[in-house]
Amino acid sequence: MFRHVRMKMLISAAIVCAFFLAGASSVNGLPSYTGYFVNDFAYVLTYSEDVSLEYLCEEIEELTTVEIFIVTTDDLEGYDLNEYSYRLFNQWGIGKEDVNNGLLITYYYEDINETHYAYDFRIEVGRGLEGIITDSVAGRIGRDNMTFWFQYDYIYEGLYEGVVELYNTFKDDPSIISGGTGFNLQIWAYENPLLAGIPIGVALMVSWTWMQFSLAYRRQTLVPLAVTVGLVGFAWWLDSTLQVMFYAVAIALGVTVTLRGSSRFRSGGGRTEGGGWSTYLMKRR
Amino acid sequence: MEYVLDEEKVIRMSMQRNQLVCFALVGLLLVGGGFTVMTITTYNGLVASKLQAENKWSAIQIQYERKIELIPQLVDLVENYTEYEQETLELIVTLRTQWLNLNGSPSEQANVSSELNDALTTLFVAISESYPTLYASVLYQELFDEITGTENRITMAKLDYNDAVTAYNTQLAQFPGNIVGSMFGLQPMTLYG
Repeated sequence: MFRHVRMKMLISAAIVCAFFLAGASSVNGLPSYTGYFVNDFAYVLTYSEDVSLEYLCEEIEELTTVEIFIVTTDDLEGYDLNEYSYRLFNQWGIGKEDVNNGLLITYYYEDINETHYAYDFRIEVGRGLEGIITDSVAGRIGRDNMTFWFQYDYIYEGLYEGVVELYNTFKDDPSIISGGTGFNLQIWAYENPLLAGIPIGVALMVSWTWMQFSLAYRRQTLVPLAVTVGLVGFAWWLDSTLQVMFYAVAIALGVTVTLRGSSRFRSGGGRTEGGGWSTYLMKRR
Repeated sequence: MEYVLDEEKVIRMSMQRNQLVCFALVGLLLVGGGFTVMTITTYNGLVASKLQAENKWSAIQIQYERKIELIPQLVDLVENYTEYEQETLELIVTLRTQWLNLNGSPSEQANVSSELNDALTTLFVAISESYPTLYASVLYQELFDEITGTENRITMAKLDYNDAVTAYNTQLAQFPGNIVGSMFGLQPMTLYG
């Protein structure tokens, strides 16, 4: 009994911890880093628009190593737009460290009433790009390519054209290309989620089997439980977009069902004639 | 009766005394060493954060210089278009000269810069209201973007400076810092109003 209570407590503690980790927000109220280029906190983009912009930014990052982040928000956390962008940029560390080639487009959406809204946006330029995208260049792009669309409520079009125009401005300059920072496990896992997921998935399956044995033979279940939690946490740390964890869990489930579970679900065609014994029949007599 | 000197006991007692002295010495050395190490690390930390704050101060100055350098361009451009804003332009030029002749006192600098900001705002408003051709011209818009962008950089540099100064002052006011700070005569820095 005691053991069951302790198990329950452990599991609920793990779940509570997971929720806290997932919803973690930093001290100054700014949203924490999500791992995506496009962060539609104000819900002004449709899903496909969000994905399209995300692909665009990923493509640009692959071609030039420049990181373009897009943030839409309806809550500036008490800062003005400029300070919000500045703090968010520096808190998320947008751009590669060696050349500071980051860009952040912040779109602030404010509801006025049922039919009207106000907007404001800012292009925040990283240090390494300031020589190419000067304030006046950013102003021109903001006015001619983005406000042009925004003023008629075409938010996605404005963002898309703005990103493309920014890319056209800096694409031919070699000084913005980052030299890379050597091998990074997290980046490798992000690029190869399946490869990273296989060993974690196998390890998860092993730890589940281990836990099942411990439960069946009344051994200490704390160790396999800790191993499972550790593996899930590792997969989370490895790739915060949770692709690695998805593959790992899928592989673990698939391998478990294939290797150990299949015999239980295999159905035969046997019949009975009603022979056997039960207490019910005896009482009736 | 026969008194026998228990030599072993005497030796043991003196050993105990020696041990005590040894312990005391080692304890003193440990405490003194710990105190020295603490002093060194705290002092180094304080000096590092002070230098950091001074660096942020120079960042503000760099952005101000950038803004001051943009003013002649603005005056050149605006002079040809505007007939009735000569007073504002002259005021801006005078304030720029005053700025260049400052000897680095923060309060005076703040005064001149706020006067300069007021004059620039007057000019920008006047241009947007009364000189549509100038307001729409690409050159003016670029210059306007540069000046307002620089103004934003100055604001952010001030924020960074204030953050750094607050970090330093906090370190100086808290426990090991207050003793070490008074030992080496470190003064708290003032925030940028």
